[in-house]
Amino acid sequence: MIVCDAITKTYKNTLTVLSNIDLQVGKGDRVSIMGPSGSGKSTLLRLMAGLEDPTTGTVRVNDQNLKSLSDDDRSQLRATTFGFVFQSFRLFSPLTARENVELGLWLMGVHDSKDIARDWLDRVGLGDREHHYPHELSGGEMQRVAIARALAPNPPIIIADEPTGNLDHAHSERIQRLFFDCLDNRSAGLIMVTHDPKLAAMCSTRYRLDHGTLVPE
Amino acid sequence: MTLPRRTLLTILRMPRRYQLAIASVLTVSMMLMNGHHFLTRGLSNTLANQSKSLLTADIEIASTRPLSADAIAAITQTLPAHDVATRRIFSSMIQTGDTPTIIEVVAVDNAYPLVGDCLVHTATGVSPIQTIMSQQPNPIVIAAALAEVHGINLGDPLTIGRFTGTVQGIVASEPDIRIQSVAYGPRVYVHADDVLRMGFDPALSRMYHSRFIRLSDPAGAIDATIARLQAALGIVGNSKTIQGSYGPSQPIVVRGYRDINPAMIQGFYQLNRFFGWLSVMLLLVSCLAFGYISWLQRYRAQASIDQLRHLGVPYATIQRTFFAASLRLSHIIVGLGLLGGWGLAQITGQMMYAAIGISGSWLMPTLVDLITLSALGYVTVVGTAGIVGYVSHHSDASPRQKQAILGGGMALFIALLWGIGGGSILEFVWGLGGLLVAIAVFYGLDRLLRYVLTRLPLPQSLPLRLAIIYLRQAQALRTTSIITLGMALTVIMVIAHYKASLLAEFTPKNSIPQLFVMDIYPDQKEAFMAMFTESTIAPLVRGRIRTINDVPATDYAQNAGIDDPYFLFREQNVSSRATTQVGESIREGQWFTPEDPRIEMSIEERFANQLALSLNDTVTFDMMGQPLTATITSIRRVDWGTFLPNFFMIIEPPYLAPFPQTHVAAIPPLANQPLADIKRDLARAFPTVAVIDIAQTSQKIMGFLQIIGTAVTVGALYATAIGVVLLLVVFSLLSDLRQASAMQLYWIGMPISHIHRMIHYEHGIIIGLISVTSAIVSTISYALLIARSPLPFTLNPWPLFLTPLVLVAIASRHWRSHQQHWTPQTDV
Repeated sequence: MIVCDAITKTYKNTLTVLSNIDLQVGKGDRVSIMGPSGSGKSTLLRLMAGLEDPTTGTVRVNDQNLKSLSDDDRSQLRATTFGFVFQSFRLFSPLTARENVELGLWLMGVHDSKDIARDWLDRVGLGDREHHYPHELSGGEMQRVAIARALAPNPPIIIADEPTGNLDHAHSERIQRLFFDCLDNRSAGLIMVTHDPKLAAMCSTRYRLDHGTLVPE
Repeated sequence: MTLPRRTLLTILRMPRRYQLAIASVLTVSMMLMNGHHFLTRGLSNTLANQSKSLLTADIEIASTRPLSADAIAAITQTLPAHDVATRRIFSSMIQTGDTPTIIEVVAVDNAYPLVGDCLVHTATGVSPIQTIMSQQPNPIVIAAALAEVHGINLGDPLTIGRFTGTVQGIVASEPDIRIQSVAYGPRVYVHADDVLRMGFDPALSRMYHSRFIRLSDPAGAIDATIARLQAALGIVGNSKTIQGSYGPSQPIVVRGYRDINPAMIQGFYQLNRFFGWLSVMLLLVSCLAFGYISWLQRYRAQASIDQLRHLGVPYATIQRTFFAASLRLSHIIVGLGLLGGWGLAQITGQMMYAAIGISGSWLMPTLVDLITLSALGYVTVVGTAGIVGYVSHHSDASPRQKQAILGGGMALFIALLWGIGGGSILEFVWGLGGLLVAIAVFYGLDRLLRYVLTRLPLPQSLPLRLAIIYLRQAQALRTTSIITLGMALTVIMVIAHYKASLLAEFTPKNSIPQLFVMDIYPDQKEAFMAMFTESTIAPLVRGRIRTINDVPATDYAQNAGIDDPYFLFREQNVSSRATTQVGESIREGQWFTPEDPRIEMSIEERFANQLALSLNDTVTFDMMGQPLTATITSIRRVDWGTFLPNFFMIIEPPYLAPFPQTHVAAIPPLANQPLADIKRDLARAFPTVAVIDIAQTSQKIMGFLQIIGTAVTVGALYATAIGVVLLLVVFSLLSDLRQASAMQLYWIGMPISHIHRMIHYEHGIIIGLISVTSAIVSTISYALLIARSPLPFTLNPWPLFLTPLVLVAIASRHWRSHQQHWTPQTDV
């Protein structure tokens, strides 16, 4: 579970991006956050992932205050607790589709990972592309690999930053369905940042970030 | 659509720090190349202008024995009208107070020098040496160093051998001090007629005899006259080499003033060749580096290029922008390269003039030189950028086409380099072949690495696993890194080996003798041995090789393809003894056996290689007019650093006994007798012997070695500096390329320490393999290079061990210095 308690983020003491945010995401929760560009959505995700510290307030993951953890511990936490899906896919170009999926497992210390990765590629409809490199895949296919990579280690929390932002309408709908199909019957919590109201509507809890303040919708 | 050139340059150019680095590397390489060219050309011109007065005549007839009456008659008959002067140079000792000094005696007649001035300070002012030699009785003229160090004054008596003369002048200036000297010690001029009064036997003592000729009409006739003289004297071949105490390459050598240029810079020849080679290699490595970095820049700029093309900027415009950028870089490199090269040539030139002992003016490059070297600069930079542009963006071209373009460009470049350096076609073919082989080796290493990595089971360790995956995939990056860095390291290691060989050759051992005594006459031998019981003494017969396996030496030299026939034609020192001595070991065959009916001969290993001699070859000598034929039955290795009387050729006793001979001896340090006392005793008891002070000689050798060592070190530093800049740029670019993926890995939970480890593994594997392969390639290349040189094959192990460590340290340091660019801020 992630608990954000009154967090504020200010840059250079003048620019307040987030102000007094309270948020809880637990098992099975589906949370979406909408907001205009520059409203602080991605910053909030970075704070929750422990990539940055809030200026005030605390972020607790599984009852651990992130600020009290070392950088290596936070990395460990990210590897075991979070699955990330990014707008720009962020696949690793030297790795094949299967190796990209395996990467999440390797980071959790699972080395016998080929079958799991193949299984996930099958699930996302890319069973025949396991040896293909990212530059040999389309945008939609890359995002499917990214979803498989995020979900394969079975993390308790998925963080998705505009997962369909780089895709056309048809692909976007297909990926949305796939993403939520994959999440079905899983207890993982989801925090998703998006501009797409349709995508946001698929979540049970919806927020809007407005001038740094989190407002329920 | 068009964009302003400036905007396009801003988008596409490489970061300033890379521009600066590559401009420095190329400029420094061009400076070395230009400087070497200016120096070689300028020095030749200066020497050509001064060579007649340096020779002191139009023509010199040089010999190791006095010319016979028949030879003189032949000369007179060939040249009825000409002026003549004679000179002999040999070593002896003088005694001033209690201090004996080894000197170089220059015995001249009244006419010497025919051209140029040998001026002398006398009691009445400065006079030509001819005035003293022709007008004074028992004249002696001494070098200024003798007057200053030993306090000898005008009018003082001076004894040389059994002759005592009067000092009547101190040398003010000599025309030939550097080019015609055995350099045993300071010079003392005496009259030629007084040599016999000194007690020296011109037939036995080692002397360098010269008969100088000034033609009444020298214009345009020198070469024809030399040819006529050679014919009249029965000289076969045209070798005009003269080296120190070994003297002329043939019994008689005829040479004109224009022939002395190569001889003058003989000592610098190897150094000159080394720097010529070094400048070519460094420019080549710099060029490879530039090509590599340009390619990486294109790789980095690919996204921008795609965007520009999407925006409607034609591809040709993009290419023109890259061309403009490389042209701008060329202006800087060519300009600074010419200017720096000229400065480098001036500094080195003045140092060389001082070493040779001639006055030289500023070295001025010709217009042709400036145009040629500028063209080389532009071809280097623009050509490389052009090839990179072609290879980067002609995706439809096959790998063979790309390889052909690369190979053709490189061949053109090397041809231009060798053309400027004045090398032969053979050297060009060897150079290009060697280079391609070296590149092929590194390319092969890359293929092997890829083969191994793709078949290697991935390890459990995630950093190592990812490092291997990255290495496996980043093909072009890996290949170019391996070739470029491999070539740079190979150059650095070859230089280090060269220096090691120089040190091994010239550094004297600890327990060396202190004096080397030559020209001990047969009637002096017993007395000498009685006086110096601890000395090592050996007979010495001077002879020349007439035939090898019944083939005349000149034909043999041609048939066997001997590189330097001087070693075949020169006067040989042949000795005889029954056993081997300290520092010798038999490499082939066996030492003399009484059962063998042939006259056996042992020959030194490197000398045998130089003359292409092997076991059972028969060699016929002309020993003072008498023939001696011996068969090679052993080839031995000699440790020359012992400074014992070692010889290239040893004849089985007693077959050398009937020939006219002297003895040479080495006197070790004596416990109760200071060196000065030994020299004094020698001068008194044996006034006609020639003595070499080993300490002084080894100091001279070490001094020379120091010059060469410094030059080689400068070369190594040059290469290393270029290599380090290149490495920094490469690692910097690699780090930039790795930053994005490092950031992603960090996001999804890979600890920073693991990311560092992954990068270090990647660098470590590449560096380790490059270092090991460079070590092997440099060792083989050096073995091939040194095979044709008299230097021993000695490896310097330090770069082999240190280079990988330094490279890993640089890579690690550089990666960590980039950490701040990709690690997210944790504290705002």
